[in-house]
Amino acid sequence: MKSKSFLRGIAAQFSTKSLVLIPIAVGINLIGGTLSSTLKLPLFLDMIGTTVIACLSGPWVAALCGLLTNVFLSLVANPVYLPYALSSVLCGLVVGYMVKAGLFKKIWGVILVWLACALVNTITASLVTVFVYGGATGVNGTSVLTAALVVAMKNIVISVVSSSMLENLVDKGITVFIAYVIVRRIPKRFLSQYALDDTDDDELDDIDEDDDSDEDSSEMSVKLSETATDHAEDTASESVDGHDATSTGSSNQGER
Amino acid sequence: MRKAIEVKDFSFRYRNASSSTLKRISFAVDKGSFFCIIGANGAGKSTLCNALVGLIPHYFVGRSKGLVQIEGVDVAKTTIAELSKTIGLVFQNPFNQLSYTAGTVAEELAFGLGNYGVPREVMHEKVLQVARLMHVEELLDKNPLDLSGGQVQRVAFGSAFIMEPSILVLDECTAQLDPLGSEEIFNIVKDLNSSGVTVVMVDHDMERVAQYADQVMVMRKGKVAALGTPREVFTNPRTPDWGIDVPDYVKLGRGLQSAGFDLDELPIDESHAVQTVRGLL
Amino acid sequence: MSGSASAAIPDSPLARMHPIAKIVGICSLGLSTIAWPDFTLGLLFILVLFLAAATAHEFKPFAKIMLGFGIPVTIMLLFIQGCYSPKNTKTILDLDFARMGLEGSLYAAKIVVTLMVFLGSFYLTTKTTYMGRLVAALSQVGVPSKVGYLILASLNVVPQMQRRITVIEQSQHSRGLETSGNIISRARAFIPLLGPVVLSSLTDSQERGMTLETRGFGIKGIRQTSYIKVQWRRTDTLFTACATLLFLLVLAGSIMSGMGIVPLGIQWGGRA
Repeated sequence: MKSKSFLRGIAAQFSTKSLVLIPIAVGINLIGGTLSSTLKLPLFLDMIGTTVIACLSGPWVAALCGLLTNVFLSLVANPVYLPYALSSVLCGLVVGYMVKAGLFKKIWGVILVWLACALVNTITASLVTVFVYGGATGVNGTSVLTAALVVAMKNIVISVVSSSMLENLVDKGITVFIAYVIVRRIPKRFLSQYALDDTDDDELDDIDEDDDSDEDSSEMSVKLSETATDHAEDTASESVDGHDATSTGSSNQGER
Repeated sequence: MRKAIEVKDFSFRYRNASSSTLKRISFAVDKGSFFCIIGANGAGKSTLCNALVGLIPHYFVGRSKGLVQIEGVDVAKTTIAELSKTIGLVFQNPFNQLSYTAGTVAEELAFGLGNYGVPREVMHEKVLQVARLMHVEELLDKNPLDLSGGQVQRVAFGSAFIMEPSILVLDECTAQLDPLGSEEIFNIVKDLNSSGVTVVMVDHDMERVAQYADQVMVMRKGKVAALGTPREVFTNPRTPDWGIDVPDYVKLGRGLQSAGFDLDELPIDESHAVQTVRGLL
Repeated sequence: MSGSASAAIPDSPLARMHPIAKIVGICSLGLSTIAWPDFTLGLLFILVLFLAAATAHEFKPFAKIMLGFGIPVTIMLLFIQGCYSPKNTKTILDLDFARMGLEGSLYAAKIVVTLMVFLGSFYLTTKTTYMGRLVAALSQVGVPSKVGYLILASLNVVPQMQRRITVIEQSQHSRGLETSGNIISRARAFIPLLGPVVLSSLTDSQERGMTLETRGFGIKGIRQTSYIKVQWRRTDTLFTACATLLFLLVLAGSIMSGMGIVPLGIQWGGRA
């Protein structure tokens, strides 16, 4: 039962509203990548979109976005990126759940997100680099750094991890900072349509409060709680677990 | 006769918004008529359009109250997909009305049909039909993303109309187009209306509204400020309070009146103005 | 890119092939390369892919991609694995600062050919497949329309966003804004232009979602149909059967050689 509602919660994150964000977030990821190569920075910056979408649509949509970014990169640029989808997916999940816990609202929380993201990425990317590619992929500055470290330290795994750690701390720092700035600038009205911005749920005030005539409101409210219940049933598969009820549910509550 | 659209005491407030965007809206639209909605920016016109096609309450999150009926069906109790067979929506930005799944205009037009599982042969036939109606036959094999705004807008019209809705809601659908593109689109709208399609149009071109609308509804701050024939609305002295402009012909009439000419009634459109001026000469 | 987003793909046997058959082909070639104990089979596949590219009129860009990727990664891996792999026992080349070992080098070669087989077959598939056709084929076998949407929309939206950036970039250039110089000044010129594109793209998504909803997207209980017809020919059956058989044979051969039942001639290291 619990696992069922968990799965249902995940399915609820994939509404049309979130689905249309994914290609755009993938686009932002790739623009970040293009930007860093245009500026000749030895960074990826390819998780800005994933971080932004994690703030809007939650961890699983962010995970899918990360996966798609790497699939896309591997199709149009270089299949080397495909196994690194593991990093992108895990980072999407980590950022998503941290945002869900409210960490993106405070500066120290943002710093935690940065560190967590850098750590997850370092571990997974190093694992992929060592076990899939034997140490280097030849496509970026990290490989050169790794090669240099291998010469100095004579150990492939340590070299891969340290060069990856160094790069990820810088890369994810910039990524999380840019994503934070973007999310702060998204218009409120747009943001409020996404599940993670649900501060309104416990306000039970009447939507007609600024109206003068209210004589037939009792009839109206019967009507509405009826339709609201219907709607809640229709979209049962779309409603997130209890505390995350969509506002249709809350309007239903309000009317009662 | 049952109305095409009936809205009763409808209110809506977006989630986390400090006030309601729509406040106790009530109106009805006759079948086959040309219904125009005008008003200043932020008056709630687009939100109302979204409520008519079911995007409120099924897509936008917020709280609604009251009733919206499309051909007798309660919007809140059906789905957007079901409604799209009765009522189609075309809005302002042409490129946001592409599905982004189509490599050609033909596929774009067929997108809606495919979602309903229409057989391929029927699809091909309908695509050709609609393409002819929207004057996009020569574009069928082009990539929609390579087209001009006006062309994409006609494709968007086609994509909405291919579901054969009896009502079309047009939310400033010509606002981003150049005069020629706007004219082409509007001609299509007129043709569709005269073939029996009910048209609900949000527009800022007051001359056009005055000439073609059967009914005009003025919205202000989420409420209905006025509802009536173009003559009733545009000759009302309170128009400045509603935040709307009046057609230049009405201004001409007022100018003539204040210059001392005695007019039986204010002209509201071109032919009327010509008549009035001719009468004075 | 534009090739896979538009219908203009030159006719060739590969272009006519059913997209699902191509996917089977990629899997068969890739997995066979991985399963085979050394790099020789992968090398043979790369040769086959070059021939296939020639029949699809894609030889030149294909060669450019393969070499552009293959050469640097080979050098890098030969250096790292060849010189520093802990499994190295036999020295094949003595450089001044390090010795190149046989085992590490063979391991590097296996990785390189595997990557190149995947790269080549991916590249040929995307270049010879109209993506609308791929998605139509996928939906025929029951893949949900949301997945199809994500594939096609990403392919269409991403280049559109990139075009928007290029347009802004050019206009900034013509207004004399600095887009060259040191990192700081370049970043200063770029970042303010990205903001509006990113934000407007995000807010545009709301209307795009409206469009999808009003066109019946995601409707439940109905099997979606496609405008594009994808035909499964007899050659596709033949190809799929051969590809599957190839993989099974390679797998069987590899397992047997691994268990020492059938020796496969000379063992070139591989599983270092």
